[in-house]
Amino acid sequence: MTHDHKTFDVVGKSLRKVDGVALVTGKPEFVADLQLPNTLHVKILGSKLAHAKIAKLDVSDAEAMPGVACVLTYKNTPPTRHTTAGQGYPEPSPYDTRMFEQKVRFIGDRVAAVAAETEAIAEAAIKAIHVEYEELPAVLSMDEARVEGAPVIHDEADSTGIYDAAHNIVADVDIDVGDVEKGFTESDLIVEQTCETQYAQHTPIETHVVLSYLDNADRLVLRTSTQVPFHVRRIVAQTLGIPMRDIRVIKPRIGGGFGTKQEVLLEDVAGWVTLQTGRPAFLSLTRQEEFAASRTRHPMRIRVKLGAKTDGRLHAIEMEATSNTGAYGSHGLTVLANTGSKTLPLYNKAPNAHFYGQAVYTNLAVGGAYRGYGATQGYFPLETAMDELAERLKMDPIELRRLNHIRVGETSPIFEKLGEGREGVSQTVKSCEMDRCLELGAERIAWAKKRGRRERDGSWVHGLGMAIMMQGSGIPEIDMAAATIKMNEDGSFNLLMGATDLGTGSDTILAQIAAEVLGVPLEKMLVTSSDTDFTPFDVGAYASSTTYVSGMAVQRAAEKVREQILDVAAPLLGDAAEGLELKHEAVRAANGSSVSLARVCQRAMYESDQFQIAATASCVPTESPPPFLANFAEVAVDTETGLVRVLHYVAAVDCGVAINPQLAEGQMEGAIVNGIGYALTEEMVLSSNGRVRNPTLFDYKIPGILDLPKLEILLVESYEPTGPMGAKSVGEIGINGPIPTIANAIYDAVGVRLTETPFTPERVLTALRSKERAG
Amino acid sequence: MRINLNINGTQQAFEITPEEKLLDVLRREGYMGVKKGCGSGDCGACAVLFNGHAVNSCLVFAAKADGAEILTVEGLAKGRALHPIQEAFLSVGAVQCGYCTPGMVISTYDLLSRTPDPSEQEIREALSGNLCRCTGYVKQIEAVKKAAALLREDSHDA
Amino acid sequence: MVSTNTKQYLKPVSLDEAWRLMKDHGSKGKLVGGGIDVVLYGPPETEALIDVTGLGLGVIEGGKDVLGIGATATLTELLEHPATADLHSGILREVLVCVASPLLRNLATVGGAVASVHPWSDVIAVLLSLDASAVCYEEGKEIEFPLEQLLENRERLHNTLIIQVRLPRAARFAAFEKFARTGFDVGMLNCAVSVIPDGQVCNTVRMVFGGTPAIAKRLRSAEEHLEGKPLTESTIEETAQVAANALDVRDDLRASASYRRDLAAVGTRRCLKRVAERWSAGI
Repeated sequence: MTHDHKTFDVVGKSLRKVDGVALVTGKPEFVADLQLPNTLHVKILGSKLAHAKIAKLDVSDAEAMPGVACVLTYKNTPPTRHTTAGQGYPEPSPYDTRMFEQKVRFIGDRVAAVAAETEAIAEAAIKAIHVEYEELPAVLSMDEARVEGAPVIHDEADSTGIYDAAHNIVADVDIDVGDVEKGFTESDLIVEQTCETQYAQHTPIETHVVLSYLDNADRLVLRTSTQVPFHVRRIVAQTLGIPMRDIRVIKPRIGGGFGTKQEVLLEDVAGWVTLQTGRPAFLSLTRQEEFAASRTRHPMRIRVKLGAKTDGRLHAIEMEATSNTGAYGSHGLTVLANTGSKTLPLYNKAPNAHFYGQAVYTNLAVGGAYRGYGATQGYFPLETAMDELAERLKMDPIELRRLNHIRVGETSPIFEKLGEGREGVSQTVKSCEMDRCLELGAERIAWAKKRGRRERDGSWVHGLGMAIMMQGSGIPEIDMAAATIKMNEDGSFNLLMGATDLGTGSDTILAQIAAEVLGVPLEKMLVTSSDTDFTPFDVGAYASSTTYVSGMAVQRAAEKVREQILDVAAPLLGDAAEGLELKHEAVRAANGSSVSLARVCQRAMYESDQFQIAATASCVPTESPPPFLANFAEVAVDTETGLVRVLHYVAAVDCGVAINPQLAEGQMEGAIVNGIGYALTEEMVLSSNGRVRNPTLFDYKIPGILDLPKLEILLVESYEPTGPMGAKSVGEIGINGPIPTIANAIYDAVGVRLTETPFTPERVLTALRSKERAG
Repeated sequence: MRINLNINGTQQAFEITPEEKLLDVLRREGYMGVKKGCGSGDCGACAVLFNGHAVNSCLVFAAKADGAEILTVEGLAKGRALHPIQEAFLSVGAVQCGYCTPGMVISTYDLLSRTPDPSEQEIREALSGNLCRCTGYVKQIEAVKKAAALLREDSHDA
Repeated sequence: MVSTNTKQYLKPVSLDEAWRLMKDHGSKGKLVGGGIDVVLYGPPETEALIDVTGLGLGVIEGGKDVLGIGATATLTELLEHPATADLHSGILREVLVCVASPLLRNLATVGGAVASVHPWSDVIAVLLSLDASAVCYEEGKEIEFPLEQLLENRERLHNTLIIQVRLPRAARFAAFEKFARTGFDVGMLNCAVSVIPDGQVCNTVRMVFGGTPAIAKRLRSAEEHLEGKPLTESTIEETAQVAANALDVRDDLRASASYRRDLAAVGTRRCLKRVAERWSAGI
């Protein structure tokens, strides 16, 4: 699709991050880098049992220990049920969590917390807390959860928003289009695939951490590593029972989020300690707690059934998903819904579709938001079923995708039927370069030349696989972002946004958008973000919303400021405001005369009809234009050991206009490598009583630099008319690629279809042996 | 007990306890560029140069640092002039959240001080103990190559 | 992890002083080389940390008959030392490059790698395959033990001061295989093999498997099977089967026992093929 894509001055350039120098010189920019005098160190006592009532809790020894300031338990903290999920209000997650309660529901669940003068004293005091549990039978798998007579994990009277607590069902989704059963009978071919995905963890290199303190007005300040500062403020106010205006949340630089920090996990405890003692409180999860007691990917079992005609057109698609949300239901409904809402519309032309499933409680580690958010799990069976369908049709898998994927001008009834837990929003695709992604990706991986060859290299066999996907850009009609821009008399601007930079570079790209509108270089935009006192509202960094939604708010604010600038400048140039433009730090008239931005602001600040040139603007998106991704991978499988090596991975992505190509590539590269870990090596292993056996980076293997394949990102730009500067989003989609792409490549290499992740060497070898035995 | 050590070119003396780790002492004394990611030597975020070799400071007893020369990321730039390694990381986009960056930079410094023209395999091996979850390592490999080139240029000019 | 019970960090300057401190503190004293294992696994009752890196034990010397590796030489120093480059097919370098990471190798000492008896240890595996011995200092005397023997005597191991590891020079051909999940990982199994030829046949075969998940040990039944035979495709295959069947393997979170058995066969085959290649090339 060609478009009138004007030449940008700032947007579209790989400019350096505005926070880059501070990060690369090790400036004290992170939560833990601010050390206040008189700070208490907080430690949490986690449950040793997966499901139990606390029969006796004696903290007197701990309290009496010298250096212990306070001990928190269910006896002395507010009992308010809330959700920890950082989502817009009213949150589509159940209010099933208390700060502390008389019950524990997974190993590592909160029993008590100690605040003490030093970390060592806090740890010693934790050990001095005496707990007697009344152990309850535990639900240790998805399948056990819904069985009649299964232990009820949330049997409390005051939880709300649970679909069917008596059967441990957090959420239930069932939507259909047409008549899928009839559709299958009308189909010429049926393919069915059931896949299971594992417990995985985000492993941000900085664990969850918060520093809380009272400012001089006795307001509670939470300096926290979060993706959702405004949700933190609201939920902490709710949980602690204090007015929201008495809380300020600041997100400084954070060390990665990936979804696990879209959660209000620690701020209530630290905040309560500060309120009780008047002192700053520092709480940081150890790496083990980060694994076992923060948030995880939702393990799922998903069945996909495809019905197609002999010409390859999909006629019926069914997806059934069961999601294990662990002991608490945060994000349970929405991740489940997303599993269908971000996958099925891709193949919009199938007249019959059915998505249904449930999210269930178990007495296991708690699932939360994780990049991809259900789509990652859903694309596994969908894109491997498509691969099988192509084989049965004797059609190139790429051709099968071309035939069926959604295109510009098209819609899918799923958009409207399935959103973030509730109904969605109808939309028509306005930008889609999927075909070009397929073409470029296939060429780069040498698809035609290498696929199906099963090239041997000693015990290694090579294979190629591909998969396509879409995601979304923000949550339509629910997400809201706002930005404020004010001008300074030297021609610079302060850009204040709630939008949350996790290291993603959103501060930079949003500043690029503003700079583009205002005709200034990036250095003239001074960014402050994510401070609930100073920056206007933003839902936070999730759902791939920052570029598209926060970016549009920034663009609008900049446009308003531009109007003001032009109005002030017009009389100076003897020209009507309409004929003027902002370029290269000046207001320029068609006749060549100009006045500098500094001059304009000086006039407005000091000279005549003085006013502060400034504006605030918001954006609520009315649609969620999908980015599109075509993945291609060459793998080698060691037939002696089952080891799978990714040799070459090509990701061709249409994220609209890339505001900063280097940062967009960076998002894709990081997401794909994370996805490769999810596909091949990452697995939280649980013991028979529900304990995480490998809560360390030593035992839970994420990809290191030695594991990086040849990885190429092709930015295949489109122009999204509803997006700021034509942009969509790119934050999540990459992580969805590796599982199905690698699965399909393994099939090409050795003819086995794996349906359980991760594809460990042992699993692959077992599958190879089974195939050999089957002859 | 007291230790005397040289950090980033400056002689320092600190009071420490026998079991304390160098990571915690450095951070307590204000070297916030040294990050804690795991406390067990698995992630490399805490790497510092210790008598010329990059090590995980979370695994070093601070008492061992008596008489040692330490380099942290804060010791690389000269005023506002970035060290070529820092310049390279920034310019190729190898810094996302920045939490692993100081450790990466130190491992790079160690590598390039011994191997001024490393192969890609040597780069990967040198950084194998530095985990990153944001970048996927692609741009970090580019950054090290660029840093090597910048440093070789500098040494030709010198 | 050591805790606030630790009252002293001691830096003896002579072997005698170190020994006396060890005796004085008994089980409440822990030797610190690089210190990694003490930091990670030192028990909270530890009262004294005894740093042995000031005793001049860091020297690596390539003698005519023996490579002597000082106990406090770091794994990096061993990896980079010119004497390791061509010793036994360069096997030390080959192994050390896949041990841990440079950050850890820059700190970890050879003596520490031995004394910590980690079941996954690649260092112990390769040392055993090369007939290493350990020189220990006790009561003013230096005593040399075959490494295998020292490792089997945990009581002694935990109460002695290792001062040197020695590798005898011989016309040995060696190979190593490590099966790990990622590039920076301990193995699901490791396999270290060496052979001293005698004409056309194998003499002095060493086959060591580690991470089974138990600590590296020689598998004598496999060694004996190959002893006195040439290295051919069929003797290699047979030995691989013997090893796989005889090896004592267990399940753990990294791998199942049966998978380890599979890996043992593959590892044996690959190592012996490589040994055969090196033998015929004379390297």
